[in-house]
Amino acid sequence: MAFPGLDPAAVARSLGLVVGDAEEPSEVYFERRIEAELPPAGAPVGFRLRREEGLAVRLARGERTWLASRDALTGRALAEALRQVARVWPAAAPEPELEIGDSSVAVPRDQIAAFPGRLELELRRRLAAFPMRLTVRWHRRDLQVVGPRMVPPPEREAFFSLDAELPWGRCGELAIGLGAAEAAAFATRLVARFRAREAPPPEPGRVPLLLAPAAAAVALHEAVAHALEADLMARSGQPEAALGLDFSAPGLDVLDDPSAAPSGVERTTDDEGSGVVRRWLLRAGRVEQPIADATAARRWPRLLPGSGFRSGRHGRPRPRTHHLELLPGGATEDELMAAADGGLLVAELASGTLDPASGRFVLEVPAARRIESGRPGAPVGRFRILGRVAELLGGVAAIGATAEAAGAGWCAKAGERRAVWARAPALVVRGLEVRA
Amino acid sequence: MSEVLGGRGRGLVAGLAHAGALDAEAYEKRGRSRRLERGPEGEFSSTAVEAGWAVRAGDLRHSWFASGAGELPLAASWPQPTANPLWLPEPRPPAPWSAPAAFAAPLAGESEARALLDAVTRELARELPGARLGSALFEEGASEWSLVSSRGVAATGAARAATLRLVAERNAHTVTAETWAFEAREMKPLAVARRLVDRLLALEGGARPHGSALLVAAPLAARLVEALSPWLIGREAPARASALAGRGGRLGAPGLRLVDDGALASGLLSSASDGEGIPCRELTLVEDGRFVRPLLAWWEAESPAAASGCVRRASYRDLPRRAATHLYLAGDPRLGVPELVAEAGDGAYLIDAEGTVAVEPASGRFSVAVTGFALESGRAKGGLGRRVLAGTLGGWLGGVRAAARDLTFVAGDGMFGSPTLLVDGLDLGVPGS
Repeated sequence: MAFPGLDPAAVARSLGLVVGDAEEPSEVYFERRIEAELPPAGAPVGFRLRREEGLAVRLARGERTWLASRDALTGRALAEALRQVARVWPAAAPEPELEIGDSSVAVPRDQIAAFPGRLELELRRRLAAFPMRLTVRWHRRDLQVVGPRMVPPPEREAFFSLDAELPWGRCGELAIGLGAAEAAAFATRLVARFRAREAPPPEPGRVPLLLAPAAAAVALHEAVAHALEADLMARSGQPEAALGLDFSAPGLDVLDDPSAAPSGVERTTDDEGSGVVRRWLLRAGRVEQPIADATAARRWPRLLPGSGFRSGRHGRPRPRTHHLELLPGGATEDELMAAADGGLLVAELASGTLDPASGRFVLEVPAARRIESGRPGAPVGRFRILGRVAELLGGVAAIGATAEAAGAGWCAKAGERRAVWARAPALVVRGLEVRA
Repeated sequence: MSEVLGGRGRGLVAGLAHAGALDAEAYEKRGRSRRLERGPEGEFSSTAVEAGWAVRAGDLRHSWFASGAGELPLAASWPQPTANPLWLPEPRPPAPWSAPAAFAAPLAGESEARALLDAVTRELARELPGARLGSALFEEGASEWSLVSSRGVAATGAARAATLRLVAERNAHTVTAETWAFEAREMKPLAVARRLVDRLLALEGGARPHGSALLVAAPLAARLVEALSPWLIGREAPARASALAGRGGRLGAPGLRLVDDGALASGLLSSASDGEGIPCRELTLVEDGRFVRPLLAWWEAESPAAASGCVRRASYRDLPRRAATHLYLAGDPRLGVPELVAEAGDGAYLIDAEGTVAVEPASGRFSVAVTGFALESGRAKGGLGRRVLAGTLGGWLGGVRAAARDLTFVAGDGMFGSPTLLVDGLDLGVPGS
């Protein structure tokens, strides 16, 4: 148990004293986090363990929302936070009772410690050796939301992250486990970058791009997920006005489904305590349901809550993707290659950014390969893919028949970082600009 | 400064040393902050009280690091060490320094923060009809920290800052502006609104500069200083800086002076000691256009006296790392901006960056979206619209013809400052060209 001794009913009663309208978003959020880190060999300071806990109280009235957070799980901290958001505390109300005990969490230290050796072995199998500084981390976050009327189940996310510093750039990965399969997959990515390290970038222009599942997932994260987040949509108009719009090529079905995320990071409720939904962002290319949290759903009633996620107790919930899915199309590998002949095969993207105001995005490609006569050809070095969301979504020429878990990574929104997950097939896109 | 902070650290370090760790260090930090955010979703007000700690312990062969929220524990289940070294500095006497006078003052209340945003909204609408705030974020925070080590280091510090981030819109143009101060009450709504208005008007224009003179206003020049900072930090800096140097090995124009000062009295990050307890001080990195020294952590300096005091901790969770604190290009106290504008003659007056400065690490080539006004006979004329300023960092430093006295800082990974500069050797183009 992450919060032994927590009495949700008592917390709900205390919250109920300050909540005027139970329909308004309000809750107490309890959080415990652990990050265990194995630094690179030779790095100053060895094994690193970070543990944090705390709580936040949120209260909304009309168009105003208040949040108070504390780095403690005590009755006093809860009372202070309640007082701060409510500005008044009923004179007769007792200080809330909160006695949360320590939780014993076993850090998977053996798994973390074994991974560098596993990776080294996989690199040797690929006849590759190069300088690298590898950091291995394990992350766990436990949370419990308590509302004035409902108490959803506790939630947990636990996963690993890898960060390799190479002479030609960084390479990162999120993973649920750290077994042989993860070592092999990461070694394949590192070797691809190693072999493309001196390759020249492609000539600038507009060529067909075959985005492998990992690259397709990151591209859609920028072009669909961020573009359909209610708070970002509201900057340039009414989010509800987008419902029913033809947003992309008709074959594109994109969902966000936190409950379908890989085991260990799947969610049944979001960070506001709302049940998650299998949300069709695009159905046959048409906008069906943007990503919304409780605040957005209250302001725009046609939007569904269930995607309010926070970076931590000190941050506010925001509409965010958790697990993005692009449904497979019908193209075989040969057909994908043929559709992108003369273009570039992009196995992965290093990062992506979207300017929500203009719809322009930039995708950073660490390395790729030319597609020559329907087959992967010579490597090309680092370059960028630029375009507008409409160009990317309107330029989809083929969708692969097989989807896979791919493209998981860190998403930073408003300076707040959280892990996001995805499942996608490969995708052929035409008309985007390629530039060194 | 609280007397409590640091007391537990001393007890813990003594306990760890007794338990066999050769070296140990305890860091404690606590802070409070207020945030008020306005946007299309409504208004969001938050307060946070944060407290945390970090401990490092070990020797030259084995070590560990632990951190947590709340009060520093005197005993805990510490991590098993791994084969990584730990080295900690010896104590050095700090220079005289006092915490910002405003540190103990209460943070702005919700109604004060709201009044500030209302005032900026009002001034913006009055100065430029049709302009509106798309979103606004006010933050104010104060923190204090304490550091104790088994080597005898005992340091404390305190900081306070208020920031305002505004997005203003008019006629399909959007600008984002940030401003910083010790306290919210130092922020001037009219001055902030006028900065936004200048940039919106500049973006709406389509004037073409007739001359080649480039006047780079202080906030934009400060962003170039920020882009330059990686070339000035660490043992590798002399070699990297020499790659930027022009003829005769000169990094900048004659008279150019670049300074980092962790103890800068007027600086938001001002402190007596850095994140490892090394005294902060003023260090000239470039003098008369010539590279003099890099910023060095104590563990890479040839002697303790050569250490720069340039190690910072982003939070209690983070390990200390080298970084500039207040890195700035010194101006000429005799030269005001109006004189510099008059001296420029015909050309362009670039008032701010409209995006981040993109730099190629290998070559030092940079480009940044900018806006400003055309200059004719030393007078500002029509807005230039969105332009792109490009060149090399070496070419920029070597091309500084004059610097005014209006030293202005912007925040990034540290604070970066510059006065308004008259420069040669940079290209001003249109986006996409």
